[in-house]
Amino acid sequence: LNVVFITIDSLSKHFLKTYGQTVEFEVETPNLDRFAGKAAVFDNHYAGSLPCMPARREFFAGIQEFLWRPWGPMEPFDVPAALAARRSGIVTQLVTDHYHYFQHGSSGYFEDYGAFDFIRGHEYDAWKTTPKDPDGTLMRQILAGDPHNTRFMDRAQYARNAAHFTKEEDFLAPQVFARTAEWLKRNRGWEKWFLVVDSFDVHEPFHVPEPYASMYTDEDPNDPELTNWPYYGRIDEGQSALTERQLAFVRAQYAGKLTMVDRWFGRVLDALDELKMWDETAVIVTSDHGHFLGDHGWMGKPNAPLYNVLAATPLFIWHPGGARNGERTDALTSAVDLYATMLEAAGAEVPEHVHSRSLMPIVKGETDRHRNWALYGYWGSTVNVTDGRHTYLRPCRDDVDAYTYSTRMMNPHGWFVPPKPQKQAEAGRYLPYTDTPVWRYPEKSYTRHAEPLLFDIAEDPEQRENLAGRDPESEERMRRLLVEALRELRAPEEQYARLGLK
Amino acid sequence: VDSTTRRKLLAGKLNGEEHPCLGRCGECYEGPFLVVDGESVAGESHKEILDRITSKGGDYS
Repeated sequence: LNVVFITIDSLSKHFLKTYGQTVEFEVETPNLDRFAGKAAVFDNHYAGSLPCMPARREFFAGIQEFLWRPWGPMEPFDVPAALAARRSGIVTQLVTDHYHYFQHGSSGYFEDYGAFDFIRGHEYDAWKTTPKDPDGTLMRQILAGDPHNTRFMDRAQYARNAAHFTKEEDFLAPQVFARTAEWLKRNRGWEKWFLVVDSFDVHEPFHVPEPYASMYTDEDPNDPELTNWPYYGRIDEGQSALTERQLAFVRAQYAGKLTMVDRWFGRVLDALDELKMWDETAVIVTSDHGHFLGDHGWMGKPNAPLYNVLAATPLFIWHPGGARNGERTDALTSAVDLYATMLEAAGAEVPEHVHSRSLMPIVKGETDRHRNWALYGYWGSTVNVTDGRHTYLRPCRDDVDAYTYSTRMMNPHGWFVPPKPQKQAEAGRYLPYTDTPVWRYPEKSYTRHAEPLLFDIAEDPEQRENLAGRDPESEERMRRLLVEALRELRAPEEQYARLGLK
Repeated sequence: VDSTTRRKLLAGKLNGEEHPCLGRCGECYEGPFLVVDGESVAGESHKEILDRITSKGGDYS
């Protein structure tokens, strides 16, 4: 089979009708809806390692990395999905505007494709140095400061990148999906192919053209008092504080961007229709994580507890031989499982050392159960587990360091900037899934909450009522499940001390 | 952040918090900074910035 794997960054599933759409507007996503109607819909799917590039190491190397390492490169002992496909004689292509692939902190994520198409200009993509003085209204809306500094990742970069965006087709998601549809049309001659589409949208900045900018708000979308790129943090204090009006605008711009993404995603479905390729193509659509937009009082991803807004992600799989096409499954599944799934669908070999478990038995209707735990988190922070019924968010001790295990000396708390020499590093065969020696070096831990958080997501899907301390039986069961998962993965010993588990 | 400065920031009337990421990558790489009432204040060290803002007045002690 041919395989198309599409990830739409920061796609919060509760904005989708397929998942109940518990938001204040009726966000139009007719193409995601039509694909969901055709595919198997996964109701209990979770992110693993967060945020962007850690999720991609799960997708494309099958490694649940956050217990060992932060955002970083593919490791020499990884077998990237594109490489595994190539070894099986499959033509491979990446279409993306996800500029993190090409920054400090990442490497090895695009090099194995037969070809890659990198669409430039999203967020901080180091693309343009002109205009020297970008448009003032956009600069104010994206909260940019002095545009004349030369430091890394300044917000003025986006104003420069977007300076020539005059029509919808110039924006990023339209380019990504239009070029994907074009690739499908031009590559019919190949017998087998593996296509990865990584759309950085719906990620911030939530800067969108009309009609989307006004689709869910009566505000003037160019009002310089209304930001479309708020700072991360609490919405009730500090740099990220927003008025109700400002927050409503941000949410409306996110919703508008989602509708724009959907429209152009539809071009890919249209191409598969026109080319009559559905019978020879598996299509997987997912996201790396959601995005807090005032939910639980937070904006963005960092620092907040890993509520399901962030951690429970959408997943749709179309397989021509699928037994669940047009149906839903509540089997518990994890982002890391997509690696083996896409390789098995493509007919490529799945390496044995990975943490990934193929979802093909679910897709083919051979089983209703897949895994009894899913782990998720950021490296150096809390560790979280679900059994599909409860979510248990375990804090870490700030005073017990986390360790990075990697062949690379990285900057564990500064992923996009130059790496730093890790002078305390030791080398050894520390990883349970490879005999390759790696560096091991400590960095400070940061918890996201002081006490455990426990939610019954069947009764309380929005996670409003913390049951920790009030439902000791469930709490103990989930604590044990966390230990079981850590043992099964052969997590490093210091994790137990960091998490207060012994 | 050194431990003495961390204690001063997190205790008392400053109402300070420490976070690993404030979404200010370039500033963070450039040098120490504190975000005070929503505005970034940069300096030689967190201690120096803290001393500077507390000496400017306001009941931060």
